[in-house]
This record gives sequence, structure tokens and C-alpha cells, in this order.
Amino acid sequence: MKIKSRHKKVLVEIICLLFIILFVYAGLTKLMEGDRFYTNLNNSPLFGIKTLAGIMSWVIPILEIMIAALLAWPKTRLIGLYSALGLMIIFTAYTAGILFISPYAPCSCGGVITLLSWKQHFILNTLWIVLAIMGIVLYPKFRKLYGPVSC
Amino acid sequence: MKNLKLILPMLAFVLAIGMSFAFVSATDEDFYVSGYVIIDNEQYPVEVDCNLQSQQDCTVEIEGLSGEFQVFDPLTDQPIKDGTGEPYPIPDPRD
Repeated sequence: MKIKSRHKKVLVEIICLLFIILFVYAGLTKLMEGDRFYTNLNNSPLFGIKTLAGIMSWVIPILEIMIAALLAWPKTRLIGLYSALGLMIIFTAYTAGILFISPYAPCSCGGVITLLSWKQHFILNTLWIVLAIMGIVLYPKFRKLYGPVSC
Repeated sequence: MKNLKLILPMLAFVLAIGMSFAFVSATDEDFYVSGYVIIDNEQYPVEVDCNLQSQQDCTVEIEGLSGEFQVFDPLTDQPIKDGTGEPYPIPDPRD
């Protein structure tokens, strides 16, 4: 039983680290390719308001980096996991909108992830949602045994 | 072990920062706008770095094909404008 709990702890730590890498990478890439990200949002059929695209081109990457910081700090880690889940649900809903509702598909976001198609994006985002749920489900059980967890 | 728990997230941050710097130029193709071109009366989606503020037409040069191709907005079917007037070289969208 103890080994099982330890495995859960390691699993949550791995999930947490993966989310930190994802959000810091995605956030910094969006900030460094700011013009590109803004234009992508501006061209999006679901996001085509210039003022909103301008605001979101700053809010999204800053939010991603903030969530990564929440995940890194043991006391705010569970909040970080919930925030990561919320953000991934929003991203997945947006991707689903592009895939199933939008009349055309705009360019995807920056970095290496831009090489993925929207369908691949959708699958990848769904996997991240599953990971976040796993992290949340596993987290409180061993928190009672070991206290707050840091990754 | 406690140190490791503190160091690992920091390492994850450093890794992600390094990755973002490493890949930001590797994928810098500046393909900003989604539009389409017409080849042999067929529409093919393309992604081109067009500046929507300009009044000059956005055109592309397609690898393996001669001449310039006008890029159209998929929503309005109007020609997309760009800042330079120079055609952008892109791979063949039919591939």
C-alpha cells in the first residue's frame, strides 16, 4: 500500500513537471513570437476582434507562466493543477471550435507545437486534460499521508 | 531528497526556457495568414506572412510552378493585401 502511494506521488510529480515545461515553453514562445501569436488570434474565425486579440496575446502567455509558477510551489500546487485543467479545457474547446465549427482553420500557435495539425492539437490537448485530472485525483489522497507535495 | 524536490521544478523551468529559445528561430517561417490560392480552378489552403494593413495584393510563388498566385481570404473571397508587393515563396499546397 505504501509503495502504491509512493508511485502515486511520483506520478503526480511527473505530471506537475510536464505541465511546468509545457506552460513555460508555450508561454515564452508566445511572448517571443508576440506579433505572430497576435496575428494568429486576429485571423482566427472564433477570435476575430482586434482589441480582444491584442489583450489575449498578452494574457494567455502570462497566465501560462503564472500557472507554471503555481505548480512549482508546493502550497499552491493543487490550485495550479486545477488552473492547468481549466486552461487546457479552454484550449481544447477552442481547438474543437476550429475543427468542427470554424469555416476555415487559421495558423496554429507558436514554437514546435505549430508543426502539429489542428486535429493533432485536439488529441494532444485531450491527453493533457487527462493528465491534469489524474494529477488532481491522485493529489489529495497522498497529501493526507505525506503532506503538501512539491515537484 | 528535499533539495531535489526544489531543484526539479527549477530544472523544468530552465529546460522550458532553453527549449523556447532553441525552437523559436527553428520554426520562424512567419506564415501568418490563412488564405487560399487557385490552381487549375481548384482552391488550395495556404499560410502566408501577409500584412493586412497594406493595400498591395498578397501573392505567392509556388515551388515547381511558374508565375505568381493571388492569395484570397476564405471568409470574403477577396484578395488579401500585403506590405511589400513581393511574392512569397511557399511549397506546393497540393502536396
